[in-house]
Parts: sequence; structure tokens; C-alpha cells
Amino acid sequence: MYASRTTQFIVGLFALAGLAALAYLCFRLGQISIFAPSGYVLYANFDNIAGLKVGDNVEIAGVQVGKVDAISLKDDRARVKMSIHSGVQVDEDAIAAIRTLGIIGDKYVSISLGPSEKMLANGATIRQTESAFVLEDAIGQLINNMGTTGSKKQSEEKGTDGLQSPPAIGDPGASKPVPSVR
Amino acid sequence: MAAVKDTVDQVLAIVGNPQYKSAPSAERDRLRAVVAPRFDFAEMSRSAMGYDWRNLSPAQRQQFVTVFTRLLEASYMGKIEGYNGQKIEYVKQTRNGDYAEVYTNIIPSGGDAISIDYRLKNENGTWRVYDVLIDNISLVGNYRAQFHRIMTDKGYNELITLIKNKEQSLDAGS
Repeated sequence: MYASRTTQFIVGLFALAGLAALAYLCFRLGQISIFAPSGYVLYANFDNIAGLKVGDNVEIAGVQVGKVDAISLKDDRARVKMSIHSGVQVDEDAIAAIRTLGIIGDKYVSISLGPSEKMLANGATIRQTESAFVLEDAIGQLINNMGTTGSKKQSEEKGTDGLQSPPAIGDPGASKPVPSVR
Repeated sequence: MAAVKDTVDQVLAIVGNPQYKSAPSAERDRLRAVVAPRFDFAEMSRSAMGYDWRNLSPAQRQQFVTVFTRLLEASYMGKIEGYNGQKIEYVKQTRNGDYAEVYTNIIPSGGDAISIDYRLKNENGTWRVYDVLIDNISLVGNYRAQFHRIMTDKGYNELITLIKNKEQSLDAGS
């Protein structure tokens, strides 16, 4: 005998609920949002993004605050579109830099907040950017400079006081920062 | 950009002038006089302090600008004075309203070109440098990261002390 209409109806409901739960789980695990996340868009233009791709993280102080939404070419620079979580404020004097996880890992955009009290609005562009560290360039420089005796007056040593001078002209091999290790 | 080239030319003229060979402090005074109008050290200091600038009192801000400017001088004057006739080429410039960037290369003898980019801001018709990128590393950004670490770990007073110490050790080494 067939089940009563009511039973069929309830079974149907359970099936739908099960499918909905499955779909929700898929979306959550796949980190795809069905409902548009509340957030806003910021842009940044770089001379070289060297491997940054859509979906890479945007971080402030090591905390993920957004993702790279789109990458396009604007004149001869890379234009990166980022979606930033609402509630995260980025000021006009912030610096956006491309960093690498480890030495050859994934790229991400690291935003360093500045002194300004004026915050960037939806769709604004982060004015100051630092391009990606290209390992091959640094190695090339190191190899080229190894044979030269530079005409530097001061040797820049890493102070034990924790204050390191930024790389300066005439310092062979010291011209790239150590990529941030996580 | 004419503004940058102008200042660079003046600096090179001073550094290459034989009459200053035996008068280093006079040379340094002349360099300072030429560089100061073109470089906005107050803005560079503010930007190097970054987010923590908002929490500084006016007196602290003033002190920090003075101390940081001295650090920059101690760090870079020696390098400028050590200029040895390397070729400087002006690659291009970009402009976005009141902000501009000038891309240059300095080519040391027997080495790879080092890129030096100047970021300028137009204030009331005068273009002044607010950041320098050496090999694509922002000077202001680099200091910002270091200073923030020290500000959070050790506080403002300790930061000032460390900067002064570094300045002294740089001066001693020249």
C-alpha cells in the first residue's frame, strides 16, 4: 500500500531539508557564500604582482581581512581588486605590499595602516604600494654583486637593538628583505 | 620629473665639487640646504610612525620628527657623499592628481642597476618627496613595520631611545 499523503509530504520535506543541509555544508566547506558577504571593495595598483592570484588573502597584521577578487591590467601596472570585510577600516596613507608565505609559497596582500584619520571608501584605491619580491632578481643581483668591492663608506650591520636600517645604496646582497615566514 | 632631477642635479653638483673635499661639514650643510626643501621629512616621519601616530601627543610628534629626520640623515648622508660618478637614468614618471612617482635607476660600476623611485606630493604648487623606494622597498614602509613592533612591545620612549642609539652608532661609523 502507498503511504498516506501526509506521510509522503513529510518524507518529501525531510528530503528537501537533507539536501539543503548538504548544500549549505558544501558552500561552507568550499568557502563560497551564497549570500553576498557584507564588505566593500578596494583597489591597489602594483608594478609587479609576481604570482598573486584571485582568491589569495588580504591581511592586516597577519589577520585575514579580505580576499583578492579580480586582477586586471591597467596601462602597464597590475590592478588588484580586493573585497575587504566590513568593519575593517583602511586609511588613505596605508601601504599595500605583496608578500609571500615562506620563500616560495602563496602570495598575499599585506596592508600596513598609516597615520591618516581619513578612511578609504568603497571603490577607492590604496595609493601607496610595494611590488612583489622576485627571488630570481635578488639571486641575480647577489651573483652580480659578489665580485665587486663596493665603494660604501659605512657598513650596515643589523643592530642588536632591534632597529635595522633599510637596505641602502651600495650594499651588495642586502637589497632585499627577508620574506616573511609564517 | 623636473623637480626631482633638479634636486638630484644640485646634490650631485655639491658632491662632485672639489672645493668640498676638505670641508665635509660645509658640504653637509650645503646638502642639507638643498635636500630640505624637496623632502618633506615631517610627512615621512608621520608616515613612518604609521597607525600609532594618532596616539602621540603634539610634543611627542615634534620630538619624533626631529629624531627620525636625524636618523635618516645619519643613514643616508654618507651614501650620498660616497657618490662616485655612477650613472643616473630617469626611466619614467606617473602622475595621479596631487601625487606623482618618479622612477630612476642608479648604475654602479660593475653591478646591476639599483632602482630608486621617488613618491611626491604636490602641496600648494611645490612637489615634495614623501617616500623613497630603493629596489622596490619602501623606506617609509620598512620603518613603519619596525617602529610598530617596537611601539607595541616596548613603547614610545624606548623607540626614541633606540632611534637615537642607532643614529649615534651610524655617525660613529662614518
